[in-house]
Amino acid sequence: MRRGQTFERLMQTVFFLCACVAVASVILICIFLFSGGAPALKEIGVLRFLTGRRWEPGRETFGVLTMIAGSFAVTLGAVLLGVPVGILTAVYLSFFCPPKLRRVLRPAVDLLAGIPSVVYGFFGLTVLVPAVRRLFGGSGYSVLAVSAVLAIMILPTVVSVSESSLSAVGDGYYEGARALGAGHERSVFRVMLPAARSGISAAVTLGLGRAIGESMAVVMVAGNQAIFPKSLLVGTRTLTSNIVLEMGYAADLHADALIATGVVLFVIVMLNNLIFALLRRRRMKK
Amino acid sequence: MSQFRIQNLNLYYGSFQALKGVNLDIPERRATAFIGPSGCGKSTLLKTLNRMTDLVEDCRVEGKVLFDGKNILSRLTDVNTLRRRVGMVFQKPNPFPMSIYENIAFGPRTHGVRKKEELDELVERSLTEAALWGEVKDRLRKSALGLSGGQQQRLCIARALAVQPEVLLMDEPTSALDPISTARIEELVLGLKREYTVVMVTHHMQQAKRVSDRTVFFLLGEVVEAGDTERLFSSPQDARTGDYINGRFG
Amino acid sequence: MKRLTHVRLRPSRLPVCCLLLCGCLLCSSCRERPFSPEREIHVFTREDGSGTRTAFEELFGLLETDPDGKRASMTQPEAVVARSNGVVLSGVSADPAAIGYLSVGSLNHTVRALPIDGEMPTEEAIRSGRYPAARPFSLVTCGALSAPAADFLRFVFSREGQNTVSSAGYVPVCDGEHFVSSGVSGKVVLVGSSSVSPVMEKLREAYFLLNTAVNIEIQTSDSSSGIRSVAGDDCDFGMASRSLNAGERAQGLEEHSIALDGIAVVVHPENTAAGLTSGQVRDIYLGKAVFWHDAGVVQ
Repeated sequence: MRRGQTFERLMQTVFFLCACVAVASVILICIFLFSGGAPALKEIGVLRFLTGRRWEPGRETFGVLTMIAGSFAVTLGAVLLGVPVGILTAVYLSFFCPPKLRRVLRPAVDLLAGIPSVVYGFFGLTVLVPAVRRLFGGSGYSVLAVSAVLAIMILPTVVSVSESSLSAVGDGYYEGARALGAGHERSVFRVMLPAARSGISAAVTLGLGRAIGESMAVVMVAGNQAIFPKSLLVGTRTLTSNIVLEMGYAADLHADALIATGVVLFVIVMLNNLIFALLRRRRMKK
Repeated sequence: MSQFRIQNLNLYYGSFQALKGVNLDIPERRATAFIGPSGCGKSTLLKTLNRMTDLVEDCRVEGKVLFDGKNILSRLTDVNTLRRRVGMVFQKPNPFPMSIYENIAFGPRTHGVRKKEELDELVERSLTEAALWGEVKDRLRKSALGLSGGQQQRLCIARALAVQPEVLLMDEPTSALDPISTARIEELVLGLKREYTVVMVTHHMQQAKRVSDRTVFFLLGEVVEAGDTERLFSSPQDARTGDYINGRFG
Repeated sequence: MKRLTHVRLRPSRLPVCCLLLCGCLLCSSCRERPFSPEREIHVFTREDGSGTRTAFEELFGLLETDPDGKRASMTQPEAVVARSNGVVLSGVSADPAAIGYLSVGSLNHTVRALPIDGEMPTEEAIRSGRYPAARPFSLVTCGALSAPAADFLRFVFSREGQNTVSSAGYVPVCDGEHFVSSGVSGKVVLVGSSSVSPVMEKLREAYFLLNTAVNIEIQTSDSSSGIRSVAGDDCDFGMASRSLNAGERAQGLEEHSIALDGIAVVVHPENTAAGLTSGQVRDIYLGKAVFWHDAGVVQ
């Protein structure tokens, strides 16, 4: 059986190398980000960079506070719109949907995940922006339009992960609840849904991460003004769209400042994942 | 006094007939055991008593099940009220992934109890009746999933008792437990049958002998024999009952 | 025996249909609000690195110089930032209350160009200088040119090349001589302004008829990135729709002006403005004129 053993060891090495490539890519990106952004942060000053309200490359003034606020606002909007719809859709698919309809709906939702973000951006531009303009006034390029596009984009993630975790909850809980005299709705919403809590919070984290990181669709729909999003109907610029808009022509300090913007984005996403991981661990301890 | 009167009950899962012409009376405030080999219909009959068979796809029932004189199989029956009066404990303990307190309080809350004092009292009373209070009274807010198997099953019993039922249905409640926990639960049932009507499905004949007042022997969807436990085990009237009890088939 | 945990929830069909019908009615009754002088002006501008934007702001006095010599835009921060001429077109053509600016060569019938100070951006008005908003298109070079690049540049300034410029809708800079290709082969790369690349594409097609041995590649981004690219020796020509600034000239870059392009100020076809003065355009972009009647527009 020595041949079998050699083959096993060979395959182990192959898998290990693949894992190394994956980890190495992440490390390289980190190195690129931090080494590229560090000189800019040093020259501009970390505090001034993070809290500066003005982003004016012509005047060499780089403050990303408005972009942080923009990213925050559209992500919050996307989560508020997309997560409840997503979770309720997952509940419907798991507990209320006739099997024949489910065989159509579930693949349809999964299909949404495969649509490229430019297409979403185009949809937002041709349908949502005019809709916002006609219903609410303004130019239509607004936080509301971006939140709507992002909400649709995170739906497939939220729905599929939530639905998987709801289906994985044991039937035993459901039976126990029904046997106590609880109706179907009460059993689903008071027992099954809370039982799938950790899976659903994973779904929300993934959705949030996607919303923060989206750039193409946002650039097409947001208006891209470097101002504070003071209302739902004004445009804004997010950290991601700032990079997309200016990276093509930026030079020297401007380019480094954009990489530093990338660093800020990276840190925000890491913080997001960390918070959810901590919350999950705390809940599991209980 | 019969709590349940089952009359000419036929039950079909699709085209398969699981229960054939069952006629049975179940006395109140006694423990009745259902025994028989696997697949003979005893669990199915148990589930009919609280309409849990409704949850199974393609299940069709004919006949009558009278609970306190009223046919619970009729469409007019309020199933949720029925299930409050007829509680159930399952083979595999299934406490909800919530705190011990929330588990017990779930039933009463479902049926309208809101006040904290009432819920607190119900929780304590149920846990005491299930002989679990002493072990958990200092950790009511901790997750129920942290309890051992035997404790979880007693929790499920307490949870069923919290809605103050009249009947307690138990579907092989100790088959997933170790002998010590089994003994504790049997002891519990001996106490409970003074207050509640207990119907227990069991795979272990000795358990039926230890715990029940009446025993019903099922075979292939039919009631072969029903009678006082002592008499049925010492002098069974049907040959098949005798064969099963003496282990000639299982 | 299957466990039935899915209940066939049969939401009564009637309320669901009513809801869908109401939704459809609401959506279809939503029409674009028509133009009126009482409406707010929706301003479109270009991104920072756009040569069109720099030229526009220079020509309409929207730049201010800091004490340290840096020039900053005074365009109101609420203006929607469009990434290219095409995006300005689609944005303005969809919104009756919008205004934007773009290269005359990119104009189409979906928007209306306004007369500025009484002049429409015709070739004659641009060449004579009566139309106030015009800027040169340049090919920027750094150091010596490769043989194919030099041949192409000669073509651009020839009679055939300038005729191509003219038929593309831009203003030629010279009459030029008859072009004969040197027959050299190779590759030429052009990077830069989205305003300049349409005319470069036409020039490429015309040049290809005369010399098929040269492969010309055109990459579109904007003026600043094109200039940066040629300074970094990543391409043969940078396409710029603005003039070089002092810093760029100091790097040894040369600009060759190949055409004149007007910057058209465009509005939606429904807009009733008869024309704008440069001062009014400036006020709009500064944010001083908020409604269309502030800019002197009447029904």
